Amino acid sequence: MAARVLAALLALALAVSTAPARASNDEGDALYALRQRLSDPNGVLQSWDPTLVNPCTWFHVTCDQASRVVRLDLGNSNVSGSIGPELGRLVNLRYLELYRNNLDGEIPKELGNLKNLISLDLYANKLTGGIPKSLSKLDSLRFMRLNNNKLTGSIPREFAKLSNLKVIDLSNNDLCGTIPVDGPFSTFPLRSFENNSRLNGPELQGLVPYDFGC
Amino acid sequence: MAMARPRARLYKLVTRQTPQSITWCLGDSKIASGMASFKNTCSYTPVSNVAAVLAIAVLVLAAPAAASVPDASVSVHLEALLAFKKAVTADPNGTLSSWTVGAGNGRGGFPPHCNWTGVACDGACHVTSIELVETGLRGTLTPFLGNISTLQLLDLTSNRFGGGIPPQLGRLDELKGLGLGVNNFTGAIPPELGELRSIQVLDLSNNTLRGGLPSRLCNCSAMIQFSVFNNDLTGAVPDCIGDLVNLNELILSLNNLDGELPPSFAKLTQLETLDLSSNQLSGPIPPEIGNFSSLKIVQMFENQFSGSIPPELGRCKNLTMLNMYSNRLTGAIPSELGELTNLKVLLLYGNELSSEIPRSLGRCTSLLSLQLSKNQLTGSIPTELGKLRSLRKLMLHANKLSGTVPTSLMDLVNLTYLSFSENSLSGPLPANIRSLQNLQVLVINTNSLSGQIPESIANCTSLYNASMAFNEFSGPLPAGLGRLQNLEFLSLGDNKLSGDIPEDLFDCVNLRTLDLAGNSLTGSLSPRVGRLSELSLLQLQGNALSGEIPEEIGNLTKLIALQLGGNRFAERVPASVSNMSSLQKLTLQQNCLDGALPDEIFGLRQLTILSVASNRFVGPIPDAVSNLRSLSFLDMSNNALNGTVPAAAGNLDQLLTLDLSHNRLAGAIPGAVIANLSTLQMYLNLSNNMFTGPIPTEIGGLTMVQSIDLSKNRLSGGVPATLAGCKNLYSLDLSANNLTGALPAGLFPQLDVLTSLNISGNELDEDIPSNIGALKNIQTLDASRNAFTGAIPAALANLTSLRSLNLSSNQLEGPVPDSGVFSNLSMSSLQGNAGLCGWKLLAPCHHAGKQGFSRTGLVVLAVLVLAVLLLLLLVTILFFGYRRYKKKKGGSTRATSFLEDFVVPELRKFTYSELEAATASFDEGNVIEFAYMRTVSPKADVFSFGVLMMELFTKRRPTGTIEEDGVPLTLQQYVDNAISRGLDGVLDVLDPDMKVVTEGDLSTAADVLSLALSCAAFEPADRPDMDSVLSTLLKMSKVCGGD
Repeated sequence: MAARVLAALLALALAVSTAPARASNDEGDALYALRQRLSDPNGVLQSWDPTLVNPCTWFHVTCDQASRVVRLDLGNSNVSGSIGPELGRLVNLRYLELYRNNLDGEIPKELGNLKNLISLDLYANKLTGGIPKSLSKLDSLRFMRLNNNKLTGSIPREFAKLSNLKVIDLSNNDLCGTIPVDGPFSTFPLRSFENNSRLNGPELQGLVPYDFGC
Repeated sequence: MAMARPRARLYKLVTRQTPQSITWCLGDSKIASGMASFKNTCSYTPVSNVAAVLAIAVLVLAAPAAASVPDASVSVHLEALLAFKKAVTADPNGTLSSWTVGAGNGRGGFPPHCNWTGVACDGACHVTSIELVETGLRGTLTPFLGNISTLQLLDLTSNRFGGGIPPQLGRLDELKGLGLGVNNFTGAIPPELGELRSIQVLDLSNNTLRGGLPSRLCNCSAMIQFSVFNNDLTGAVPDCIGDLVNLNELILSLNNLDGELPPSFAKLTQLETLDLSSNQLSGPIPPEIGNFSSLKIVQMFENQFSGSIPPELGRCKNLTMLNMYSNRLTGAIPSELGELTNLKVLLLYGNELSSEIPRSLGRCTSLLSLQLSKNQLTGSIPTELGKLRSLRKLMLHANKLSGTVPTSLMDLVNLTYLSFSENSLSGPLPANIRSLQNLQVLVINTNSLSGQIPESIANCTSLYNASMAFNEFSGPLPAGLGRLQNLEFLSLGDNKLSGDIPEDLFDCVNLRTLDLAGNSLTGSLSPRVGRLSELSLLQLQGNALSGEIPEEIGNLTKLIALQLGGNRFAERVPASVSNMSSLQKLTLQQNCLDGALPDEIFGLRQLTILSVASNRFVGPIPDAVSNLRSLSFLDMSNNALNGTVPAAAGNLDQLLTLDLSHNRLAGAIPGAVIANLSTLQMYLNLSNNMFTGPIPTEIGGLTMVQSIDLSKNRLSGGVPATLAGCKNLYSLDLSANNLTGALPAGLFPQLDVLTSLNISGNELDEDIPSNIGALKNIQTLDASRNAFTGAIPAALANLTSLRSLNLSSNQLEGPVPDSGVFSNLSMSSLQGNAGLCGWKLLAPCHHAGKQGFSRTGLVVLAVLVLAVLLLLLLVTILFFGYRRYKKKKGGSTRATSFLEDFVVPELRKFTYSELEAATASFDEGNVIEFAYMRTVSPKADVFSFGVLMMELFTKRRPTGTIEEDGVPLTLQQYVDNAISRGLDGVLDVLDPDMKVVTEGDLSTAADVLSLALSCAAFEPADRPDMDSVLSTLLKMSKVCGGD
């Protein structure tokens, strides 16, 4: 009975509202492209069926009320393969959780397009290459954990612009150069950067070239 | 989705059709080898390597002269061929085994290399052709090939040659065909190839060439076919491209070319095949393309072309393929395209086309595939499309089409794929759909299609995908669906279907997805469901199915999702669920299931999502819950579970959401479990239980959790300072517990994203920390019914997001700020604080020790000063005005008072507060508000909605009749009181005819009543807007109606 009353209520409410926003299937396409590049021995991506109306019913994918993909939760899922540039098309994504897998290859620079991203958790994988500068465009980012990978190169100095960043962990990589000290970096503990044998400690502005030995 | 690209075929066209000239050449050399006398005239002089190098050096310096010396050129050719062989590093098929100097040497001086595999000579023993296609050769290409000046064909297609293309090939004046496609050539295209005066066919496709298209290539004016597809070329199409006036095949696809097509492009009037697809080309499509009268194939898809589709294309009568999908084309689909009667494929999807679909397309009767989806096309589907009898694929989805589905579409008897989903089509699905005997895919979801699903759909026996969800189909499911033996995907969710699920649906044994969710289906779930053994997705949530869940459901061993929520399934969950070992999602919420939580569920180790909420489950949460190591969503709320949270729950280290609220769980909230849930990123709800003891400090380890609700328990102790570790907390509810002590001083600055904080109904004391101003995003804040002392922090007035504040029933004192949230606060939010003063509805503050004016005093003073100044001004004006008036008076015919010159007559206006005071009765107050505001306020609608809902739920009139303890109450007060008494209170006031089955139902009713109450708030500003009402209702429906 209550359910029926609610249904009636809903019908009433819907009558006065405009049609709900419709998901673009671009997001589904992007996710499906990811599925195709990943190897998935545990079958966690089995429900990612492109025949379905939108990706919101796929497991490990969360949409908002307008059916836009806001979360991708594939942490600890035993997937391997590379991340690929397609994820850069999930422009509504807020949480990208790909930690503790066997992902390799580079972090695609296209992830810099995810302007709404709050959390970028790629830790404990086998990622190589540099940390893309483009990630400094992620103005909403609060959590960036790229630790325990095989990342090389320097910490983009532009990250000092990420004023909302609360947590960063770049430890246990092969980064080099110095650690920025501006902006949110003034509050991060040094353990967020430990075990990067070629990292020279905090940047001494005006004295040590940023890329020294890098 | 995309058509298979016809590239392989085109490519063959290039390589196989290449040598008309070569046929001539080979013919010539065969004639030569057949004529002994001719052979004998041909002299062959072996030379040493050094001599050859010298000869080549001479040749390089004076090529034309050397070419005229036959003897020298023959040896030069031999040496060049030997150099070619030398640069081959692998020859797996032994193709070049005949390429030895000794071979054929004994046959009267005829140069042996003319008999080498793949080599052909002319009558003068000059090499004219090297053709080594698909021989597996690996290596680099020797520059010495540039010395075979008589070479007319060099075809090395499909080998593994790497390295650069030698620029020396540009010397081959006679070369008509150069085929280097499908190799591993790297580097740039040598501009020297532009010197190939005779070249007719140049194929460099399928390599990894970089750089731009050299404009010197425009000198190759004999070029007929040019292909560079699938390389990494960048830059623009050369401005001079139009110089290649003989070009009839131009294939630049799959590169990274950008820029616009140059104006000279218009000169390529001989083109038959134009393939520019999959580049970054932009700008308009030149209308001159309409002059390319031989044009057969146009591939411009996957670029960034903009502007409109040139109507001139309608003149290209030979067009068979026009593919412009995935660009940024705007405007209309030209009706002129209807002239293209040879057109077989028209793909324009993924643009921004905004016209109607032209009726003229009905004349393109050769069409096999018409794909106009993902545009902004309007109007209705033209009836004329029914004339396209050859059509196999018709895709119109994701547009803005309206009107009904034309019956004529059912004449398209060859259709295999029909999609018009995501439009605004209405009306029925034509009953004669039976004629679509070949239809395999029918995708029509997300429209407003209505009426019954035609029974004749059961005749479309080729159907394997029927996607019809999100429409308004009503009535029963048709009988006979069991004949659709190929059906793998059937989605009818979110329609208005009713009646029982027909038994024969379970004959569709190949079904992999069955979605009937969100309808009004009744009856029980047949045991025959067990026949659908291929099923991986079964979605029946949000119907009115009843009875027991059949034991046979356990036969569905391939299921990964079983969604039965929001029905009336009763009694026990069958033990056979344990067979569904692949199950990742099991949702049983909002049913009438009872008994203990079935052990079998906790053996489903793949489970990622489990909801058993809002049933009648009793007993403890079993330790076996720890088996579900993959669980990311666990909802057991709204049951009658008792006992404690098992320590084993700490093994659920993948959880994002944990909801155990509205049960009878007791004991302490185990800190060790919370400590292990560090991945809990979304939601922790333990509210409405009987938990005791302190809030564990480990809660601060939930770094990313977005919402914590521990309200309505019996928690004691202080608010832990560690909560500061929850750096992503949007909502925190600790209300209605027995928490004591002061709020931790350092907490608020860390919770800067918090939008909702409820700590009401505890025993918290001391000052509200002034750094509460750090909650920059806070929208609702309830600190009522505590023992807070001291002043209201002035910072609260500066929180611009704060819309709702409740500080009532504390021991706060001193002046109340006037600005910010306080300017619209209702008295009820401050009452019960005896020491507060200075606010509009409170007594003024008496500042014994303080100097100066109160804020109100200052305002009064300012008003007084202003009034005096205005008075002075008026007197001055009147004075001067009177003097002028007296001066004018003699000549003036007007007899009006001078005052009229200055004083604008003012109509008496009632202020809102006067009207409000005059109409104190609550419901009529709304009428006045409505009338006074002139612009119709949507908030008045919200008000009416709220009152209506309360009337509906309580079956009571809004005013007058209700009395409690003899005191007259408004309906709002009545409902408010009821809600404050909790669920029991709600149950008391609900319409007795309303059947509330579970505690979940009751709590939903309470939620609706609360919402209704907020809609009927006294102040319009306090009422939510309709959008947020809608979203709240939607949320509720998600909780109760299924997924």
